[in-house]
Amino acid sequence: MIMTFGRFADFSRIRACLPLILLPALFIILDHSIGFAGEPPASLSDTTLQIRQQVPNKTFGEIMLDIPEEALKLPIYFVKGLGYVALNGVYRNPVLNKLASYALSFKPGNGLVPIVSYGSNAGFYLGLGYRHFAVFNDDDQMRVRLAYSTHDYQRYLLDYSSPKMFGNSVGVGFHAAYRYRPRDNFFGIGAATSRSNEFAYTIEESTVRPELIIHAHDNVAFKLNGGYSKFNLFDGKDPAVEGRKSEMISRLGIDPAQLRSSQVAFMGGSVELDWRDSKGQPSRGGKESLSSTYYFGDNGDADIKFWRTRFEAAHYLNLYKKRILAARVIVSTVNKRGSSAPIPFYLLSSLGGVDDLRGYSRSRFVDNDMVLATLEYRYPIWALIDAFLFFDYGRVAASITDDLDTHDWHESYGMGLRVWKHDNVLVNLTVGRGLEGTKIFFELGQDW
Amino acid sequence: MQGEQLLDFDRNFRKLVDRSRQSYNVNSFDEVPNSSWFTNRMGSVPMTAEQVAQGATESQGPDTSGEWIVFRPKVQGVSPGFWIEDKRGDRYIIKFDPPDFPEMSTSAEAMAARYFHACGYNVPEVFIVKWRPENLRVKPDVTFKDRTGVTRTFTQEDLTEILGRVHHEPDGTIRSLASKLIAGKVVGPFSYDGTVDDDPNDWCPHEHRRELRALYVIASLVNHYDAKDQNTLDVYVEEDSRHFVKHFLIDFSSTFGANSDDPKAPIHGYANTFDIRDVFVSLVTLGTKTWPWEHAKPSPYPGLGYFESEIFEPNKFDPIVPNPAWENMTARDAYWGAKVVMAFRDEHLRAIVSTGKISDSAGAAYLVKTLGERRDKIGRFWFAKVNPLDNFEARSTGAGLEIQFKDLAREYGFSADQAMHRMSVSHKGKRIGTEREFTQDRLDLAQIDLVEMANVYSASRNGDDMEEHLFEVRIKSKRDDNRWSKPVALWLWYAPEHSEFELVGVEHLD
Repeated sequence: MIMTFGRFADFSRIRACLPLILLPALFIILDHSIGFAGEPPASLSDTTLQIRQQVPNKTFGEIMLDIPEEALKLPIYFVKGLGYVALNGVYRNPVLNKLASYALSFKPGNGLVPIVSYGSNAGFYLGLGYRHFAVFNDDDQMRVRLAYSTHDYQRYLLDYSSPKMFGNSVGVGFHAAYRYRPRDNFFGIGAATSRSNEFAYTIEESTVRPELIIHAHDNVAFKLNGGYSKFNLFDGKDPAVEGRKSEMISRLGIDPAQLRSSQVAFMGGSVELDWRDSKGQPSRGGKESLSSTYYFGDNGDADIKFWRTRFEAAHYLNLYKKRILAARVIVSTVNKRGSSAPIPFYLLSSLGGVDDLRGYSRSRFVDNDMVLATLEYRYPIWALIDAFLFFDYGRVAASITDDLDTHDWHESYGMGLRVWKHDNVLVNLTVGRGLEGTKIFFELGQDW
Repeated sequence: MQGEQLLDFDRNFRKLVDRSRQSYNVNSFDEVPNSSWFTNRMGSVPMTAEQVAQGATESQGPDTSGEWIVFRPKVQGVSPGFWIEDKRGDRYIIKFDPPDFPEMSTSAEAMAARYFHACGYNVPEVFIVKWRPENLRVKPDVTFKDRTGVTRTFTQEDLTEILGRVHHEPDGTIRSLASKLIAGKVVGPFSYDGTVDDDPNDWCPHEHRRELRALYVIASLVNHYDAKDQNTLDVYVEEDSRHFVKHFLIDFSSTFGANSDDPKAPIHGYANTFDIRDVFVSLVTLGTKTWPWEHAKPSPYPGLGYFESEIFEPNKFDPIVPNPAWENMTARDAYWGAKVVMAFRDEHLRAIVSTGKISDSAGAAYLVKTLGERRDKIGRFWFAKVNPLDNFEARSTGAGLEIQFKDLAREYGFSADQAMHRMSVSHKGKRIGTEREFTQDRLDLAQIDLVEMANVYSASRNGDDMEEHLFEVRIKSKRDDNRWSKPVALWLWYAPEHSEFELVGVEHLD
C-alpha cells in the first residue's frame, strides 16, 4: 500500500495531470458563475402580460471575465481610435483628401500614387508617383516615380508609352531611369558561390531607352529598342559587410575588369505573345517573349561587346473556380563577342530576388547564363486578393549548353499575397525561403 | 468588430456551451410588445395584400404637376440625389436608378420599404414617381460640402451633372424614388448596440432587443445586407401629445438584386465587405474550401440585379459589416423573426412586388417566386431550431384545462403528418406525474391532473413565494425526421383562491 501511494505521490505525474484537473474545474466554475437568461422569471407581480423591464445584473463570473477582456481589447480600441483620427484628418483636409482619393482610386485617372515597397537589402522604399493619361493622344500615358529607401536606395523613373501613336498598329515608348543601390550583395560568379564570400557594393545606374512597338495582331507585338546605360561601381556601404573592391578581387579571384564602371549603348528587338485572359489575375492562356539585344561600350579601359538573349514563357491553368496553376520558365544568356573585355558582373545574368529565385537576395547568383523554372498555385482568399504558394528552381552557369548539369541548382519556396485589379497587380507580398534563410518582399506594382 | 468579439469572453463562453443571452425586451409570451422601435403587424394582426402594398404611406406622394425646388443635394452615400420641396410644401429626398439598370434601385427600395413596414418596423413613406427635369429649380444660395470637402454653392450645373448620371425614360421623364421627410426633429442614426444615455426610454441595450436581433432573419428574405447604423434614423416625434424618440430603418436601395448603383454580386449577402473569418478560412484551407456564392449562376433578369433562392442559406446570410445585434441572435429570436417572414403568403409577396412598378412582368413574377422560395427556406430552417408550436390559447372546461395551439411546421407545409407530442409537468424543477404523448394540436389537462397539481402547490407552500404558483408544462414534438424537438415551455399560474390555472407564459426553449 505504501508503495502504491508512493507511486501516486510522483509529482511529475501530478504536474502532467494538472491541465486535466484544472480545465474541467475552470469550466465548472464559469458554468456556475456566468448568469444565463432563459431561467424562469423569479417572480410575477400579476398574471397579466409582464414586460421584463429589469436588465439582468452582471454575475460575479462575468465581472471577473470583464477585467482581462477589457485589458486585451485596449490595443484594439487604440488602433480604432487612431484610425478614426487619421480618417477624419484625411477627410477634412482637402489636400490629403484629394491625395487619398487618387491613391485609393481603382479607376484610371491622373494623379498621385503612393509607392511603398520593402526588400531585405533596400529596406522600406517610400515615394510618390504621378501618372498622367492622355498626354498627347487618348491612349498614351506617362508615369513618374520617385522613391527613397531607409537604406539610402534611390529610384527615379520616367515612363511614357503610347500604344497607338501612329495608327492602331504602331506605338512608341520611352523609359528613363536612375537607380542608386549602395548595399547590393555580390558573392562571386558561378553557381556554387559561398555565402561566406559576401561583399557589398554600390552601383549607380542611369538608363534611357526609347522603343518602337508594332502590333502585328491582337496578342502579338514586336518591339525594337535601343538606348544607353551608364554604370558607376563603388565600394559598398553596408556597415555589416565588406565592401572594398580590392578585397573582392583578392578573395573571389575574379578579373578586375569585371569590377569596373562601364557605359554601354544597346539595341535589340523582341517578340511578345500575350494571350492571357487577364493581366491582373490571369487564369488562362499564357505569355511568351523572346528578346535579343546587342550591347557595346567600354569599361573605361577596353571595349565591351556582348549579346543578351532572353526567353520567357508563362502559362496559366484554371483548375477550379480561379484556383490557378501557373508555370514559368526563363532562360537568359550573355555571349561575349570578339575581343570584348570581360563583361562586368552586374551586366551578366543573375538569379535571386523578387522576380525570380524568391528565397534569395537580389542577384545572389551571377554568371553568363541563367535558367529558372517556377510553379505557383494561386487561390482567391477574397475579392481581388489571392494567396499563392510557389516553388522556384534555377541555376546560373558559364554556358547552359556546356555546363548545365544536375549540380548547383538552387530552389526556393514560399507563399505570398497579391492584391490585383483587372489589368494590374497592386500589391505583392512574398515570403520566400531558400537554403540561406528567409526573404520578405513587399511592393506595390506588377508581377508576372 | 470580429476582433473585439473574439475577446468577449463571457459571450464566447455562452456560445460555447450553447446558452446565449436571450433578448431582454420580450414579454412572458416570448413576443415583442409594441414600442417606439416596433409595432406588431404581420404575423400578429391579419393584413390584407392591399394593406401590405400601402405600407407606411399616408399621402399621395410628391406633386409632380408643379415646380420642385431643390434645397439640398445628397452627398452622403454612393448614389446621386437631392432634397426637394413640392408645391404643397412637402419635402422629399429623390433617388435614382443607375443609367444601365433602370428600375433596379427604385423598385428595390419601394418594395423593401413596404416589406419592412408590414413586418412592424418604422420606415419612411416612399413613392415611385415620374417627373420632368424641366420642373426642377435650384433654390438660390444653397450651399453644400462637395466630395473634396469644399463648401460652395450648389448650382444648376451641379444639378445637371447629377441628372447626367441617371437613367432617363424615352419620353424624357425621370423615374425616381421619393422618400418623404419624417416629421419631427432628426436626432441621428441609432447604433445596433448599446443605449443612448440621454433617452430615458432607451433602457434596453440594442444588441439585446429582439426586433433588432431578429432583423437578421427578416432582412435575409430581401437580402438587405446593408443594415448598418448609417441606414437607421432616430427622430424626435410628437404623437398623441406625447414626445419621444422614434426609431426608423431607412435606405433600402441595397435590397433585392440592387447594390445601390450597381447590381449585387453573388457574394453580397454572404460575407462582410472584408470578412476576416472567411479570409482566414480561405487562406488556411489553401483554396480547397469553396463558398456558396462561387457556385452562383447568372441572374436570369440582370436588369433587376442579382437576387436568387438557389444558393441562399438562411443561416449563411452575412451583412456588409458585422451587426452587433445580429451577432447576438439566438434560436428563439430567429424563430420569432421566421414567424413574421412566414406570415407573408404569396398574395402578400405579389402585393409587395407590385409596388416596385417593374415593367417586365416576367421579372416581377421571378421576384415573387424567388421571394416565396427564400421565405420557405427561412421558415424551414429556423422553425427546426425550436419546437414551432404557437398561438397557445387556454380555456377552462368542465373537464379540466384545454390548451389549443397551432403546429406552424405543419401549417406551413414543412411537416406532412400530424406530429406526435410529448408533455410533462414540473413544479419548481420537480416532475409531477409521468410524461404523456398525444397527437392532436390540443393539450388536455384533465381535472384529476389539475387536482394533483393543486395538491403539490399546497404541500410546497412556504410563505408567499411567487415561484410556488408556477407550473411548467413542456411539450416536445416529433415530426417527419423522427427526432424529438427542443421543448416549448408553457407557464401556468395557479390561483388557489379560484382553484384555477391560467396560461401566463410561453418560452420556445433553444
